[in-house]
Amino acid sequence: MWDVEEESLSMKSKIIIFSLTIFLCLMGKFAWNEVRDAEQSGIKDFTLLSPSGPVSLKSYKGKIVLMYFGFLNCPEACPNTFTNVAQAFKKLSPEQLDQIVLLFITLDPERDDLNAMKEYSHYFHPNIVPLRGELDYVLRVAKFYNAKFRKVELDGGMEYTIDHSLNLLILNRKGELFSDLGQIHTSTSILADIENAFKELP
Amino acid sequence: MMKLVTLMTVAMWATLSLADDLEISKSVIKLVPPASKNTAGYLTIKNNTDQDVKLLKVESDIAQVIELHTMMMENDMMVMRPVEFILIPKKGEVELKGGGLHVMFLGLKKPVVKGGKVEAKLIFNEGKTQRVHFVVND
Repeated sequence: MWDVEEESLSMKSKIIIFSLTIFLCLMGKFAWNEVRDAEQSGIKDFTLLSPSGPVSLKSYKGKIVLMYFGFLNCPEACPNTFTNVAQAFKKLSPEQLDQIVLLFITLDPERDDLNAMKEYSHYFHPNIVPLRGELDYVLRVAKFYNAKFRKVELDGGMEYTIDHSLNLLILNRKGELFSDLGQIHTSTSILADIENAFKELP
Repeated sequence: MMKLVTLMTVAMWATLSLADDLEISKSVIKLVPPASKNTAGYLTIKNNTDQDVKLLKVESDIAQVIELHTMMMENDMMVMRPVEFILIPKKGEVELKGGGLHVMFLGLKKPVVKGGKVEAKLIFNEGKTQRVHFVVND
């Protein structure tokens, strides 16, 4: 009789322990998911490192901001974009040029240092500001602005390359997305969109 | 003596005919900022022979490593991958150009300058080779 009592008690405690375990597991999973979601959420108002110190997007409020995600080893798409933007910039008035900037955010912080990025950017135009951050952080910034990229290991001289979308974004003076020039942009289409962004009331 | 002359004639004829077999044009190297360690080269290869020809390799002193690459849009992303060879079909031509097949110069030993000439050697299958001058241009 006593034995049976003891056995049923231990059965109860087993059930309690089992339920608690399940509950804790579920809680843990919930908490874990929350962390993961936060990790994967996009960042709108970013702060990244420029050659002259940290720069946040908010500090450009009142200006037109172009944004491009690229990397120095990019042989074609990136230099073509910078050439096109530089050509468009050269058609702007000095007043307009004071109020516009292209933020070049590297997708390859592993290989791109800010000095090389500065030299590279200024070769095209002085209004191009190179920015660098930790890869995880850049991933979240890119996520918010719908830019896709992934690192791909390669056999051969490059070791790895970065597949990336070629979006060129224009933010208005309030820091809101004005246009996404998508994959195909020319100096003419860039200039037209910049002029339209300038026409918006401040 | 007669043999030597014949041999030389054959050798000259072989060289000349090879030049005719494969016609190279529009050989350009992309001008990139001095901070760039890599650049791309483009050219058109016309194959006048009755046999397919494969471009296997490019050799030049300007870069540490030279590879053949292709480029394409995939899932909204620009994707670049090395290729083992570039096939130039018999009586056909292949254009290496922006957004597609190209010669990738990795680890430039010195910056390229606009208008500069770069000497290179194209290596095809069956030991065929051909010299080419690339002109640096944007």
